[in-house]
Amino acid sequence: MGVTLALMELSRDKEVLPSSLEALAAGKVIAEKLGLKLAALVMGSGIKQAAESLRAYPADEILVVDEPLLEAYQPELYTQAVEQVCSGIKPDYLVMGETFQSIDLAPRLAFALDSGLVTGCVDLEFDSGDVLFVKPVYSGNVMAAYSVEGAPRLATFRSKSFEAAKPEDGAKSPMRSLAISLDQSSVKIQPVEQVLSGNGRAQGLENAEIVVSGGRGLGGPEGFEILRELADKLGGALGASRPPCDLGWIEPSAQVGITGAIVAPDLYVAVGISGSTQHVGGMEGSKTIVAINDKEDAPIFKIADYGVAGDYKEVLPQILEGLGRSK
Amino acid sequence: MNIIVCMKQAPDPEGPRDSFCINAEDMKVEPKGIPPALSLFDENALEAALRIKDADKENVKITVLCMGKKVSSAVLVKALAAGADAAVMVQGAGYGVQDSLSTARALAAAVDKIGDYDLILCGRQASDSNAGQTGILLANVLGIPAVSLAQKIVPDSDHALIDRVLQGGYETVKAPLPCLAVVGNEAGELRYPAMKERRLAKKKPSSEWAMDDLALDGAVSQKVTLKKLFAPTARTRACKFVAGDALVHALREDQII
Repeated sequence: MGVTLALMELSRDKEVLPSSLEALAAGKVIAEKLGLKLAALVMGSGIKQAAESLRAYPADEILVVDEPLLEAYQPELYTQAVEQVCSGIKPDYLVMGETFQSIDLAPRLAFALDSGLVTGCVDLEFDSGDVLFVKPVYSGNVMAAYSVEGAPRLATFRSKSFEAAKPEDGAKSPMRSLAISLDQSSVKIQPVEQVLSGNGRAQGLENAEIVVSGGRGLGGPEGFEILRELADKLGGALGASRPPCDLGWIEPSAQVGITGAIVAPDLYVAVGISGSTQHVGGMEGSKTIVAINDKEDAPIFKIADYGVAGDYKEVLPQILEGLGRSK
Repeated sequence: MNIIVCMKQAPDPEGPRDSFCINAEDMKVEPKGIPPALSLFDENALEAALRIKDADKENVKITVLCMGKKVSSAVLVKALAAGADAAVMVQGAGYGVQDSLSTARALAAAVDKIGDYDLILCGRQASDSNAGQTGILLANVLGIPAVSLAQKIVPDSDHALIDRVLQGGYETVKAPLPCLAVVGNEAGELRYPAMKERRLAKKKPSSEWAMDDLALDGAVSQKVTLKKLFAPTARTRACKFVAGDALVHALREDQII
């Protein structure tokens, strides 16, 4: 019986990332459709707890590689490790969540395993025994479906495309430790230092129930001050479209869009954002979208539920005042 | 120091959605009314190269490598005007429907033909296929180390210090030269050239090769095959326009906040 293998990624405090649980759910869809087993692979150092936590999820087997050299992500060692696991397990499919790590790791694995890879998938289709991996191309203006060759076939899944797998009451999937031997002499990329904050899980942005974002229309970094005030008042997170990040008005991690954070909060407030496909691709799943823009024909209004056509410098104080008033 | 920047030509992704016409029969996207442009992240890669050159103008030479069925000279002139020293375009009918690996193999053959290099820079992903694999695959084909999501690159004589974006920050890694860096938008927007630079750009050396000029062994099997193209589900919503001082009331009434 064949296997679909889902590679689990851990946060810096060694918990399984939500995006990995989403990939596990995608892997389960493939496994069920094609009659394959589903296995989750977790790698790292001192990861007993994370491995144990995975046993509650619907998988036929939890595979564990606990190895001191895998403490932090090192591209060449991680590639070797997954390659060795694959040569033993021989999975038919290998799926991952799309993260900074898999953006780096997945193409290396595709080359090492001589396999095809589709990155950033949002959906799966099944065509007489073949899996088609569906993803947005042309920055979300077109959708494409690909078939993949190789053993295993590789895919990464864009955040929030599949609902994360949920732990099941009383489930206790069998767990198996795998031994690997890593060759350090192949390592060419040496870590020098890390400048990091947080635990490596998605920024507050991706989990926030309310997101307030600003775009080029704010005109400068000072525009983000009143935006921050609005975000605080609503109890939401502050985001931005790409131009303010590129222009240094706000830190790059605030970027919402296809190449930034992909968010789907209950309420998304877009201020001074025209609505490029790049940005819209990262937020159009939001439940309610409010757009504030001085250009009445801005594309953002086409995907908004509420619109205010006006200068944010006048509109935001009005909103803040309105929020201050009792209901 | 010789830097090669791999750049792809793609329709401007910021164009309106209806300008991306889908030809389902030939499995092609035909852009209507939007000019070809440098793929966005490749512009960031060029900017990263220019910043290296800024620090050592005399000794850094940047060659732009652009490959495709038909490469527009306007697109190459833009790269040269921004500050690249030379351009190589590889085009021709031989450039058929390809996946990332076969593209990487063709690029590797072009890089070999260019010859001496210390650093290769690629954009994080193309603005058409959005695959984001070619850079790392190219490094693998060439057998050199690759660092992805680079936001800053500082080379010395035999190594490069590269800041790589991570969740919540970045890490600095050291890679021996020659190496390849995949660059994201964090590296900065491509500078805008002065008029004088534009005029000079047309005089800079640019070579034109055909795919047949590359030493490519024909039998590259395709690992990823496009099966279907379709329009995304339109997610337009009925926008209710309200005045600024009425928004909070409207949101409260509809129990949004």
